[in-house]
Parts: sequence; structure tokens; C-alpha cells
Amino acid sequence: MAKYILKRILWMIPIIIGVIFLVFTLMYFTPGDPARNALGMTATEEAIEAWNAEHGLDQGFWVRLFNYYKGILHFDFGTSYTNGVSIAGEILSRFPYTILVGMLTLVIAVAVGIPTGVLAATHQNTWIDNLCMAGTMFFTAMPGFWFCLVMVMFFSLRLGWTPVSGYETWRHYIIPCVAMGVGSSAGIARQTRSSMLEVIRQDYVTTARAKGQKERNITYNHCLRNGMIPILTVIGGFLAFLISGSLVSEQIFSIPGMGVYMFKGIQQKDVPVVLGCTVVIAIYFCVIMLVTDIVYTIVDPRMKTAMISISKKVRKDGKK
Amino acid sequence: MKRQNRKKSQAAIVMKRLFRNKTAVIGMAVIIILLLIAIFAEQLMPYDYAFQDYYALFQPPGGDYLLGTDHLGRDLLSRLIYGCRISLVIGLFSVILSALIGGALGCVAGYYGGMTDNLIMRFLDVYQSVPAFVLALAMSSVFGYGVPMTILALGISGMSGYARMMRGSIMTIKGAEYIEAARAVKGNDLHIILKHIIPNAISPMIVNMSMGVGNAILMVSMLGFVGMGVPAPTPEWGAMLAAGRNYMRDSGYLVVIPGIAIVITVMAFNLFGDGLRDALDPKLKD
Repeated sequence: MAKYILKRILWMIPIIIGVIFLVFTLMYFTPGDPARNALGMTATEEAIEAWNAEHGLDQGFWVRLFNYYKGILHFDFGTSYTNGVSIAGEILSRFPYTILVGMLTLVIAVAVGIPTGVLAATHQNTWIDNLCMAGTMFFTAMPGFWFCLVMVMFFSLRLGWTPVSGYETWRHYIIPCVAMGVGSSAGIARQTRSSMLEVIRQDYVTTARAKGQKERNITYNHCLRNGMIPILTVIGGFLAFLISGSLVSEQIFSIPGMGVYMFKGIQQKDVPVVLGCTVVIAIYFCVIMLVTDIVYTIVDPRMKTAMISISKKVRKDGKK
Repeated sequence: MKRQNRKKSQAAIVMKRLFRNKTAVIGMAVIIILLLIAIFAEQLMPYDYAFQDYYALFQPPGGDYLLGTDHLGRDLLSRLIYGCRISLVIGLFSVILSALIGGALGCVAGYYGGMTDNLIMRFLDVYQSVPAFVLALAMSSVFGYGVPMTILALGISGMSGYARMMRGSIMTIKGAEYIEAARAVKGNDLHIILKHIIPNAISPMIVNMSMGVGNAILMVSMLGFVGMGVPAPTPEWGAMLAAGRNYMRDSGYLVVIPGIAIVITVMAFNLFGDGLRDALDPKLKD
């Protein structure tokens, strides 16, 4: 087990190196003249050359890429083109907010999605099931940020229960996290329902019922636990969506996270800021995916042997 | 002649199954209506989408302006109608682009296998480590604004799922006898891929594409909402929401109505995609 996790963590290193390469290459082709933008139209040629040299823009692609890797090893993402502030420091102060919003959203999505799916599956083909499924259909089609706005209109502006925007107290986080979480719970609920329906007619469930287990115990320990793997896969897939969603909800509620910083960077053509944010978000995403994979093995021990044997097989194939 | 007949009946069976599915038919009907709205946008718009009536700012729905006017006195209904064209064009074409790029990569990986496959798959591992929306954001900051650029950004950033899917279905087809037969008569690789493999691997791709359109439209609106994508004054639904947001205390309809338009469009594509999946492969039905 420890060996598997270690292997998985080591595998992250080439992925992250690759991601940095991908994003760096992409951003390298950003059109425009950043020195001109930063110094204004009246700047002299010498001033522009000096600015380019200062930001390392007078060097070739590979040198810049190498320097960027070297910088990241020391947690240095360069400085912003527009105000010269260190990007690493800015990211460090903003990242906790993004994680907080993202994780709270995830918790709510799971806490709403799984029970909804279970409820729909245990009441299959009744009005409860139909209602749940119609609800999920609506929520998957709905842009999360729109739901945020509608909830703000109703709960903050009309009823005045929660603040409209800000980040100081826990009350500020209710609407962004609940709106985004409920919005993304729909996919989880659908998957929970279909994997519950798959196991609900298995023989071991009938056996459990025949020996007089409580219905609750059957539902959660016999059915749900066995149907958990596809649900976890869906949750893993939703994480990308969720991270993007939390970036947008930060923007709506003026939470000073990565989202606001990145969007501003894009508008001001501040390439290092966009690059740094993208890289950090990608690393964040990799780590969450790693955690999902580890949770797999905890929830379903069968997966552990499967994964270990797959990695062995891959190695063997590689040798051939 | 015989083969033609069989092919026809296969399509007929799928269509029959599709038409029996009520929700899918509703989805299809809504898609057709939306397509008609998008095509005939100029004729349907009661006013020009950029026309500003300064004597009628923030008119609530009803009255002269059926769905009301925004902060510049522009007719909301006309803007929604024209926005429908923008959303559908970007949604449809970006998905087609994704499927083409992803499909080509997946074909090459699945058909040749070995080192080529390994390289492409590792590239996709890296590619998928960046959330699609973040990648689309980074790309549109490089490509710039406008409809073609947004299609390009969304199309390229969304291709990895199609590549994996195409690779998967090709790997199951590759061992089939008819491929072996085609190889035995010395068909070249391109011919085998285009004539024998793709027609047999296309149905899951089509299902995925029809569901992908809804997702792409959501992404467009997210991009528009954060100020990327299509520049003003072109009415893009997400950008309309972003603009309406500043006035939502008194003019809530500016936020509610464009959102409903997005929900209806995305839902229609999702319902249709679900129905198509069930019709093409009844085993997959959940």
C-alpha cells in the first residue's frame, strides 16, 4: 500500500514538469509587447531593452523555460509585469481562500449528492425518484455562477440573511459554497443512483435482507459501499469542474482567491501571473486526484490489488 | 443492394428507439427550435441587438419591450435571440473541433499502439492535469477575443476526453476479423482507419459530442461571465449575465432571464444526448 502511494506520488513529478512545459509553451505565444504595455507609449528604446533584460525576455525560449523551472524549485514564479510584486507571495496569500471555497463546495456536493442518489434509488420509479432525477437534470444544465447570483438575489438582497459579498466571516461563505456545491451535486447524485440500482438486486443484498438486517444498514453498508467506485470516479471528474467553478464564484463574491487574481492577470495581459496561477491550479488538481486515487483503495480494497497488478503489468509491457 | 438495406434498417431501428423516448424527443424539438432561432435571428429580433433606447432604460418585462431592457436601453429579447446564435455556433463548432483533434490523436494512439500510444497517452495525462476551463482561459488569453478564437480555445482545451474515448473504442475494434481481412488484402493504414475503423467507432463519439455541446455552451457562458470570449456589444449570454449582475438589486430579470435561456439550451442538448446514447446502445441505459 505504502509502495503504491509512493509510486503514485513519484509519478506526479513528471506530470507536473510536463504541465509546466505545456502551459509555458502556450503562454510563450501570447501576442503583444509587455514592455510597451508596462512602460507606456512614450518609453525610449533603451528603457524597453532594459525592462526586457530585467524580466529575462531578451533570452531564447529554452533559456527562459529552464530559468522558469529553476525558479519554481525555489518557489519563485517571477514578478508581475504590471506592478512588479512577487507572484509567489501573492499566490501564497490567496491560495488558502481558493482551497477553502473548493473544499467546502466539495463537502456540500458530496453531502447533498450521495443521499439524493440513494433516496432516488431506494424509491425507484416513484414520484420521489422522478423528482430527484428532474432536479439533477436541471442542476447539470445550470451554470453554477448563475445559481450563485439567483441565491444572492433571494437570500441576500430580498431576505437579507447573508452578506452579499466579502470574506471576513463564515456567513460570507454560505452562499458561494452552497450554490456551487448543490449545483455540482447533480452528477454525483445521478451516478449514485445508477450504481445503487446495479447492486441493489445482487444476491448478497437479498441475503442480508433475509437474515433480518436493518434496511438502513443494507442500504449504506451493503449497497452503497459496493457501488462506491464509479461514484468516486464521477467525483474525481467533477473536481476539475469544481475548481473552475470556485474560481468564478470567488469573482462573484469578491473573495480574494486565485480566481480574481488570474482574471485580472488575463485582462492586463500579465503573462507571468496567468502562467503562475495556471501552474499552481494544475498542481492543486494533481494532488486532489492523487487523494481520490488513495481514497479508492481505502473504500474498496479490491481496487488496491487491481491497481498494483495494473502497475506491474504496465512495467512488464514496457520491458517488452 | 442487400448491404444497403441492412444499413438502412439499422439506422431506422435507432431512430425508432430515439423517437419512442419522450424526453429525447422534447430535447430534439427544443434543439430544432433553437437552431431555427439562431438561423433566422435577424428576422426574429424585434429590435437591433445594439440599439440603445435612452428613454427606456431598465424597462421591466412586458410592455413595448417584451422581456424588458437593460442598463443601456437595449431590448433583452433581441439580445437573447442573437445570443442564441453565438452560443450555438461556438458550442457546436468547438465540439466538432475537439472531436476532430481528439479523434485523430485517439486513432493514431489506438491503431499504432506501442511507443506512439505511450507517448500520446502520457501527453494526455499532462493535458488533463489542467482543468479544461483553466486551460480554455489561458488559451483565450493567448488567442484573444472573438467567436473564432473562442471556438479555437474551447475546441483545443476540450479534446482530451475524445482522444481517450476514440483510443478505447479503436483498441476493441482493432482485433476484429474484418480489420484483419482488410490488412490481408494489403489495405494501407489510412484506408483501414478511414473506411473500416472510424465508421465502427463513431457511435460513442457522436453520443459524447451531443452531450459535449451542452457542456461547451456552459463553458462559453463562464468565459463570457469573467470577461473573456466574445467582446461587447455582441450579446453573449454569459456576458449579459455579468452586465446584469450590477443591477440585480432592482432589475433581477436581467440576471434571471439569460440564465433560463442557458439552462433550457444546455438541458435540451443533455436530454437529446441521453436519448441518443440509450437508442444507440440499450445496454448502457442507466
